[in-house]
Amino acid sequence: MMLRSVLPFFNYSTGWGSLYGIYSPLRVASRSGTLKFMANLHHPAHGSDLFYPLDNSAVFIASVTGKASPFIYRVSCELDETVYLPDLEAALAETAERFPFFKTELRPGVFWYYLDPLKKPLKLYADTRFPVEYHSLQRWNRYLFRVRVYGSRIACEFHHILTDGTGSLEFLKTLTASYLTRRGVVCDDWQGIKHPSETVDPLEYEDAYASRFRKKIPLPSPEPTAFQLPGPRYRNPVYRVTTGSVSLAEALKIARGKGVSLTALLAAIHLSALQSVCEECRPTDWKPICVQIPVNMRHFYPSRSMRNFFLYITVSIDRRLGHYEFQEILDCVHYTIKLNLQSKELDRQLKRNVRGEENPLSRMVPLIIKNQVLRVIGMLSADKPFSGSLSNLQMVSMPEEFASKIIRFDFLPARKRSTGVNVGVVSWKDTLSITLGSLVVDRSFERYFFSLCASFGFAFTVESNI
Amino acid sequence: MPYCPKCRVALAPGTLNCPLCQEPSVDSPDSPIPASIPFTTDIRNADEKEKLSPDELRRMVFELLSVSFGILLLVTIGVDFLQNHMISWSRYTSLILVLVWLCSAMPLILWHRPWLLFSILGPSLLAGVFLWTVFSGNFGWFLPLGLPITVVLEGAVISSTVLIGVQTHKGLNAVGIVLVAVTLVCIGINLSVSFYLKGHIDLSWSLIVGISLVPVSGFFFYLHYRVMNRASLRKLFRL
Repeated sequence: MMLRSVLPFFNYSTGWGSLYGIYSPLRVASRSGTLKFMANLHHPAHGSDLFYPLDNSAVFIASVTGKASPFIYRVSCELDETVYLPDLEAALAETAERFPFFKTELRPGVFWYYLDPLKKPLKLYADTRFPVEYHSLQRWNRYLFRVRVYGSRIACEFHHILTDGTGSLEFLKTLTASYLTRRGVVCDDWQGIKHPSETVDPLEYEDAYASRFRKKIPLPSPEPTAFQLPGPRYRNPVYRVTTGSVSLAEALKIARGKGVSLTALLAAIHLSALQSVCEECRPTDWKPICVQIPVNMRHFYPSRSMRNFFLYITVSIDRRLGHYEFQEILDCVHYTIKLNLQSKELDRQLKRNVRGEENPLSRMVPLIIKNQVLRVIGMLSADKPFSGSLSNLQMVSMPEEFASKIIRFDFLPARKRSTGVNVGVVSWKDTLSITLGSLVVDRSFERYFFSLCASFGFAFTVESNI
Repeated sequence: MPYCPKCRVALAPGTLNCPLCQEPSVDSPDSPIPASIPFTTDIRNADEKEKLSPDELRRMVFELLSVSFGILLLVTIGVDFLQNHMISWSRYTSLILVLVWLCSAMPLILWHRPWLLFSILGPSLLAGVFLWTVFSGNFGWFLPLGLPITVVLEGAVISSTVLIGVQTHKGLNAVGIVLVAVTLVCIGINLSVSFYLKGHIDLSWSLIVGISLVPVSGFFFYLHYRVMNRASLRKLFRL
């Protein structure tokens, strides 16, 4: 979800972002007032002509994805027993049928990329030490997600073109529930988890951005260039994954003791750790330190979409004003989140990203030119306003019958060469799992982050793949 | 129970190598794994079950065509017989009706057996042309004109059908194949007619057809294999 970082450049003063609005049946439908929400409504459900236009986020991501930003993230769960491969294969096959919009490949059209249904059988992959590695989109005939297995762990790695954290978690929950059912767990009420035998709701693959677009509101202010972690990066495929687990109740108690949400507290710790690294390595770098926090827009606009539907808020400190004490950072973060976490404010971002749809000329620019322009923009400025990101997928819940068989969930953010380190947070039962994915060889950030956490009383159990 | 020591997953009974990493499996001391529970994966619309299957639809159309052509055949022969008290002009209409019926109805019932279809239609069309010469009483044009043109036409149809059939992704490449086949048929007709009329082979108008159609078919092949592959125009040109 933190991959949204490139989107601020979407529609800035350059105006290039306007190229990337989606003209879809949905927009026509919402104008006419007859049809709503459906990006692909007039397509036959299983017709050979079926395809899925990319959602607004995916359009940009498809153009700029590469080795420096592979846009692949991972959600995983660990069961209480070793995975039995034949049952997981069968569960994957039926789960994928429930999510047909994930059973697709990315293909280029003349004007836009689109997702084309792919009939190739789905495979399970062995897990690797350095996950979420680059996945070339230039090789067609491959899915944009993969399921990896190791011991009792089932991990789903999704390309952000397909979906955001919410969609991928839904997929993992269905896959796990389906697998556990095959393993003999009986559960009559799946409590909102998508059942493989359900009919697919077309609203699940709508472009949720387009139907919520408000034309006559001002754009958000541009963001300045931010400090980014210095130092050499690992070469592909190395990716350092450091996971800290702590009691959720304990973490919530600490956050409430400070009068803030858990996300605000973690974001403040993130900013503070970045400030410490900056003061140590680049004391004369006066650029602001900015952390982006993705926001699940489904909380603001009811949507069943399983595709991307998120925006972000940015919390920052201005280093020109001097050293920030932790309480000052916490106040900044707390009130910034409160101010920006309003639908009206988020609507401005939504307008910035979707307004390109209004320009028919930009829609007619061939994809090959759009790609080149977007890559240049991405290279020059796309990642600059962010020092890192912190994505909190919140609490995962499943029926008790399944939950008793699952030990933990983890969320690993995507690699990003520019920011270096990104943070993923997810909670399961009484375990808060914080995962730092880092391409920076130096471990200072992790050291500051977990030291700061420990200073507040977090009793972390930390593990790393390097 | 087989077990992969590398991926640490349990494998199906009898599995020698892990399907994920190809590591040889070892025996696991784990407790037996309960049998799988089957799931329904049927997410089709219930209305689809009410529709005719493609085979049923083909059989129905075959029956309709056969009855219609049969009636037409009987009517033309009957009218001819009532008028002339003999079979005269209706021989030609009957021959055409039988050939049209063969070409339109036989593919419907031999849909899954293309080679049987070709082996019936090929000789039938040749026999039809031969019968036409018999009815007309002029055998002179059958060998130099009727036979080669029919053979070229049948060859072009069979080869283009086979070529299109073996394509994994059918699209503009099918149009390209048809255009090449049309070019070959034109060349065949041109050669046969020139040989029949002038006594020697002379490529004239078919050359112009070829020069026009072959680059167009080449463009279609290029579009299909380099640009579109298996996409529909609707997907490709969505604005």
